Amino acid sequence: MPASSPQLLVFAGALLLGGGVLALGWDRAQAEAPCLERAAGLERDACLRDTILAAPADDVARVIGLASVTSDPVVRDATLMTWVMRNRPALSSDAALRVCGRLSTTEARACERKVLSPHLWP
Amino acid sequence: MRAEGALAASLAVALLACRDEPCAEYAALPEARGLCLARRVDAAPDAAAALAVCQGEAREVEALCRQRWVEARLMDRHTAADDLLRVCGAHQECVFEVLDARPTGTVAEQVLRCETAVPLYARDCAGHAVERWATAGPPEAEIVALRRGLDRYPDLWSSYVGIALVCGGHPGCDAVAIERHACEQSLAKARALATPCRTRPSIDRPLGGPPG
Repeated sequence: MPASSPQLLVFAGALLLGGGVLALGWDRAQAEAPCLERAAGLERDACLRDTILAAPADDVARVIGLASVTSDPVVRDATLMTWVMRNRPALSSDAALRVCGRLSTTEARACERKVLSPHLWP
Repeated sequence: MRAEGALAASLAVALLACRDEPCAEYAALPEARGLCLARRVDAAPDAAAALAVCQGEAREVEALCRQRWVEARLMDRHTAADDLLRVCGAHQECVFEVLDARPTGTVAEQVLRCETAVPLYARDCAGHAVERWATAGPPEAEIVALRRGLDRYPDLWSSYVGIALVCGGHPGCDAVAIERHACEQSLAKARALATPCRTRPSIDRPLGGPPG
């Protein structure tokens, strides 16, 4: 008998969470547990957003990992853009561009230009 | 009693849905709300409405928001270039796009405008203006006269004089008294091009070639 839609959603959610845990590493994942234990949705994304914005500039891999488990694309993009701009002085161009590359097309282009040509953007 | 409470709650939800306030779901997340509003700024009916959004809750992504509204209206004849420039503000890249899509006056005037309005992009902006002028096939007298107007960009003139002659249907460099050698070289290169007269798009020439 084929699985019903809710079952598929739960399965997909578990896979996503598992992927996130693998991507972050076990220690990291435990540290992010308060966020990841919440049901997928804006509340969990808000928790992930707070964790990302509190991350230091040398924690690029963790920021990208956390963004990858943020389900709302607007929250994810806005958080990553804000994190890049707040940490820009301490970020290398390569690291900043890696984060910009996780954004949707239009925002990625704007983010890359801001990183590479800050004098052209107010 | 409980049934009335449930009914009231349902009505409240329905009323909220009817209000259809954009990006309301991000009320507690200021960056996300700002980006959400910036992504919808195309719907702002005029420059004042766009500026209200971009300078208001979309402040974190203000430049992106301004450029988004402007790009959506670059080719809309009902939106005045002045309104586009007002929304661009100090955003040079945005202003450059407006000058490029809405050229005005003679090519020499456009070059001056580039230098005044987008000093950081002045050379590229002037290059686009000269390219647009050359590919439109200017009269020979204009080609000779423009050399003096491009004193600050002599390489631009030598790059495009050949294209201007070919697209204007002029036989050669006879009328060009100065930099004759550069003119001959430029003309040879222009004649080797497959489509020398394809122009860059603007509101008057969306896909290249003269209007009409």
